[in-house]
Amino acid sequence: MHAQSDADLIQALGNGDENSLRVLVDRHSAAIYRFSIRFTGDESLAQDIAQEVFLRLYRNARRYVPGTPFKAWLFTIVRNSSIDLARSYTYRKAYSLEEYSREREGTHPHDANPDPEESYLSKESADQVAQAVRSLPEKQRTAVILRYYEGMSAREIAEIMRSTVASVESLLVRAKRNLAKLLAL
Amino acid sequence: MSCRKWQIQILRWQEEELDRESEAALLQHLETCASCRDAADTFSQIDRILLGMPQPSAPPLLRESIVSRVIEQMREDSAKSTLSRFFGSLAYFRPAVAGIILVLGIGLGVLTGLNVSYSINTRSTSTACDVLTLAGIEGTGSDSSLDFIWTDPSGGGR
Repeated sequence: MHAQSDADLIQALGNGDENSLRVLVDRHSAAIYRFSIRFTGDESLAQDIAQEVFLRLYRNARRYVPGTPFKAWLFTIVRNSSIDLARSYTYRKAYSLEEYSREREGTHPHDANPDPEESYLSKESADQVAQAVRSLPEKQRTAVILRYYEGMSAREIAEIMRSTVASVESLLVRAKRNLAKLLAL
Repeated sequence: MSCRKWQIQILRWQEEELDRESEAALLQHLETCASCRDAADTFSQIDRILLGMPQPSAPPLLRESIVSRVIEQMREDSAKSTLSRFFGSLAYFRPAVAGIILVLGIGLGVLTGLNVSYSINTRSTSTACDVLTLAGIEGTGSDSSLDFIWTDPSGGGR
């Protein structure tokens, strides 16, 4: 059992403690990977992002201010790493909203099944939803992933995105409208 | 209030973050506004779809690869900082090292200077300071110009 708090671990990591690194990786690597794969849709890029996040965590460990919410601090690094790596990577699979809509012509999820929710239970449909999320503009995508997959509140998301609660709520509304359009709901 | 703002209220309502008064106002608006009613339906549909998505699982070797990469970096940094500590400790001796270099430089300079001077002096003795050269008669083949210093030991004149 690891009784130490994340804040204690990050401070120990700043002093070069390898065991603290192991505990932090055990605790957070899966969530970081989940965010990255949803953000990019590319497994190898998501692994690179997870690695980069922990390197940045180690390099910036001494800058962590005790009392700062660790999860918000961590996900700020995750978001920045995802943006940076996705930009520099040769990876260019993300579709623009228009491209995605064009591609989806003729593959309406309702065609196969009249109940849209049931149709998303299949792997194919899950892939379509995942792709629709990835095709959202970066800020909307980040807000959606953090809200729906990491279960964060608008306040926490605002902290990570260095924004206001009102802007995050507005982002989520726009994201939902865009998703509805992309998934033809 | 515009429909855009009502839709933000719908979002809060669906997340159960709306107080009773605002909730009552929203429900009243939904009764009269078809566009916001549609938005409310679509939003809850999107919520269900997103929340029903499967959780991607991390690759089994992800943790190990992260740990080994970061530890490699930590050790690299540690080795660098050991070197910089070593060279940093030499900082105390910097004035002494500078003094030694200065003394050695001056010493070498003096020695070199003496050597050059010695070479010049040696060359001038063999040529410029030679008696015949000084007298301006070297290579003339005549000794008449030495008359002023020549004395016949037998007492006879020339």
